[in-house]
Amino acid sequence: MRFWQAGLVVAAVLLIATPEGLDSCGIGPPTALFAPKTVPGDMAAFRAGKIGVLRRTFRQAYLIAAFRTVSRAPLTNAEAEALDPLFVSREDRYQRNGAFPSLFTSGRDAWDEQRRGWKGGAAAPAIESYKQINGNGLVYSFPNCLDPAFAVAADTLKYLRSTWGENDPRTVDWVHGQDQVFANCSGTEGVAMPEPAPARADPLLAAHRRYQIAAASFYAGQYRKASLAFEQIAGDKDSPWQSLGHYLSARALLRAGLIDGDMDAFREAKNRVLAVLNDPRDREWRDDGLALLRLWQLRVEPRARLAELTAELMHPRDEAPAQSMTDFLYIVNNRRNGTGRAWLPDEIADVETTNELAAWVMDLSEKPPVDAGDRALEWWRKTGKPLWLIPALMNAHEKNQTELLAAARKVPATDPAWESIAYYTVSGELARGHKDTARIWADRALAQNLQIATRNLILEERIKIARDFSEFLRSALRQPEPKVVLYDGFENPAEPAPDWAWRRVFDEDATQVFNTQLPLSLWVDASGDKTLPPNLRLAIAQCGWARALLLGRADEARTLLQRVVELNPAAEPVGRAVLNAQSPEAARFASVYIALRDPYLEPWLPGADDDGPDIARARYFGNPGWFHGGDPLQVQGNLAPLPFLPGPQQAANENEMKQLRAAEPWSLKYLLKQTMDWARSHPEDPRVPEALHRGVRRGYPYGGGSPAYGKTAKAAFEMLYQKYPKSPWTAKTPYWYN
Amino acid sequence: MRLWPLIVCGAAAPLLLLRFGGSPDPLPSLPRIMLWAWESPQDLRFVRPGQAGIAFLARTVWFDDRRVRSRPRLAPLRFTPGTDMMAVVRLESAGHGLPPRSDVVRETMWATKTPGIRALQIDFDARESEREWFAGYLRDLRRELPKGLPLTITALENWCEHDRWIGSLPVADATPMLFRMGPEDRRLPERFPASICRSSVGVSTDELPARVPKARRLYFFHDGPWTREAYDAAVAQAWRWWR
Repeated sequence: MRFWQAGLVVAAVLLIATPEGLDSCGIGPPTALFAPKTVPGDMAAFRAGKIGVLRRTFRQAYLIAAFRTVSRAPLTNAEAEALDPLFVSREDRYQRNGAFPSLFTSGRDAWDEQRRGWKGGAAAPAIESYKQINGNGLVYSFPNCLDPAFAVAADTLKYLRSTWGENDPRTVDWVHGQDQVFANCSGTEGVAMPEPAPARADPLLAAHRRYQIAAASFYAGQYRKASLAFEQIAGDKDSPWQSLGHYLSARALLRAGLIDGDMDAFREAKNRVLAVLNDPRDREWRDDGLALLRLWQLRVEPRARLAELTAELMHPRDEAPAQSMTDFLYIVNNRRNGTGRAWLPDEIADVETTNELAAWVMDLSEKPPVDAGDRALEWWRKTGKPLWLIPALMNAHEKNQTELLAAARKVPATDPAWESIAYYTVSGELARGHKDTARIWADRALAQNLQIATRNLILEERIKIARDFSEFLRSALRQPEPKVVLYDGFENPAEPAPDWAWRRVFDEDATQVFNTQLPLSLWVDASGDKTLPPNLRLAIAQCGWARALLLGRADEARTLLQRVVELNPAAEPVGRAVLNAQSPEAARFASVYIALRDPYLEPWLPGADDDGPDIARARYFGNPGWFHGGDPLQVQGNLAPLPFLPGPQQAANENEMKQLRAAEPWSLKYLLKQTMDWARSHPEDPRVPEALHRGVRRGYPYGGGSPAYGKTAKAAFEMLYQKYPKSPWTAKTPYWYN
Repeated sequence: MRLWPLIVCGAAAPLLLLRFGGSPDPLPSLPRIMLWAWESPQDLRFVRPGQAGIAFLARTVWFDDRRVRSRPRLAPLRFTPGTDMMAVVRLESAGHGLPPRSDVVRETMWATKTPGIRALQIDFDARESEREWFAGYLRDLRRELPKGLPLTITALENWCEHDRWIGSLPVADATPMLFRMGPEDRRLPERFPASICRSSVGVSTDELPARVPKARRLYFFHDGPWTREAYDAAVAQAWRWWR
């Protein structure tokens, strides 16, 4: 009965104390990045011209910015600030902040409000503003009815309601017609065409109706019919839509080209747009007309438009170049002409040889042209800009390697391109098997004052050619990039920098080697190596101690635990209990007690930003036990052998791996059984009730990690209540998890 | 003599049922391998009809307590005509309040207008506080859908392992997603306690577990556009698990 009441109290407390709306899967905390893949690690330095290592995976806006900066046309403040929103895209921001994405627009909202507010007839129908193209193995959608259309319709309805009245038959007729217009946005129910106004209809309603019919034709995909209808409206001096006529007529023809591939319409569209631009009566549509012309050029004359866009992007100005950037990247990434045909090799070569910025972005893209290496080298020969050595090295052919290395050697370390050049020389030489050259370049680079991400990238290469354990450890040490973190799958600014950002830690490569390729003897060596920072030595000593326990290596276990106590005096009480134990059984229980207090203790090193072990602290949450499923042991066999590790040490490690796999994992069930065994022979040990409590309590969130855990937890729970009814640990253990 | 194949099949059928969870396939018209095709240009013409199906992101619906908006798939998806298609609708809650269910159902229904789809899958990482709303939404949606169109959901792995609420949802199948499970990655069960989660599992090609719970259907997610190589590897992996 007491258990039942206690359970009820706990349930009530949980009900009140647990916040609602917790994410079920849980977005993890920010993760450390050693070299961001999509953005520069240090934006301020980047803007100041320190471009670091440029990567193919970078958002391409940064490649353009780097080119501008190094070409002595640095970004203006407005341009640089425009890069910051690119740092986190709108959709990413939505994910982070719970804000609505950009598709929430004022025009659509205004229409919905007006239409729902109008009570003169049928309720507002659902509108899908996108049209789906579906057929012959292709599905996609495009925004058919754009936001301004809804905004204009909302304004018109508002005006008509106030002018004609809410229930006036003309208002009713107009609304009915407009519903039909917007039904064509999705077109899922076929074409909905408003009836022409009767001959004696109100002239304003008739003019509106002609506009509605033209718009309905446009949204229904009857572009030529729509173009003609808009042209007629342009000639109707009584129509409130007259001034829009020429512009919309051109736009309808442009869509015919874009959507239907009607190239004749495309050509006609250009003439109509030019007419709008040249007619003073259409001056209010000049900017929109210009946008149409640019869209036309983008699709029909992409290479000519590319040249214009390049000039725009290279010219410093006091506004964000967002549209120019988008159009530019569309052309260089798409590499297609107006009919959708991919550019031929000579067309690509033409761009690569005549447009420096376009060549730069293409050569650094994830899909560079096949001759990117040669073209980049040509630019280097022609301009002498060290910048061009970056894509030349990234896409290098063997035949050019001697020339490239000679050129790279001449670039001073102070050049903005130098860090990229050094990195791609090291990685390129390593890929070719030229280990000595790679090592010389890496060591020369590492002697410089590098940016954090650059240093990490070069160390990532250097560790692969470590000649001994000492070199390995030196290359393994990295500092996470303090200004960028990985959060919810995206690289985002770290605001503020996480605590771990300032520590020197291991990246995944070194951690994997430790966990799967180094014998215990080297764990012992590393834990005493004073070139490593104390936090790393402590982690190695703690995880190494757990590993030594599993392997049954008492001497190494003792050495490692002594190191733990030296490095973390707070761990002395629990550590000494093991070290000073009078019997192997006592040492074992003291070890089990530590494992129960610290759920993060495992026989392998944690990730740089993971909660690592700290045997001085008693914690509840963490792993339910040392599992072999899903642990680093699984990756063994996929890693290349360590060249610096002598054969006997490799054999020792393989042997230890086998032992680790065969050893009984220190699961929660195992720890509890050990505790109960000790409790039977040493019931007075004051640690026992705490150990039982922790073993039962830790099973709450997981069910102990195995189906068989429940029985053991129940037995431990009963032992706690029967043998230690007055212990405070018993009071803290209201139930067991079955 | 002509009867013996029938007898063998009759005897084997229950065994096969046992192997795959002891219940009939909730989606018998779909292949056993389904490829999730998310919002990026996808060219899946290398998938032969019948060999695998395509569960494509057809629509995303965003909502908070006041507004509901949605957008269909914009990126082109190419496939061989005749391939079995499933429309997937992703729900995104801003996390501060929920709108009337009917508004979200209305936006979801646009996805069913795609001709030829064989099933509809709802992908929503419902928070604890959103589950009751989600269950009601699924009931409303089920009523609106054509009777012959199966409704399925993706499920967070812990829904299938710990939560009983999922069993009462009006769906034909719940596909536990065995990837991006966060720092608490843990050993997967032989079979999920929730029976609705036993017919299929979802994995990601960049995070394949060593083993998966028994399931007759596998959904593969691939980060970015699918390639033939990624597809071949997924098929090979599927058969390794099924062996």
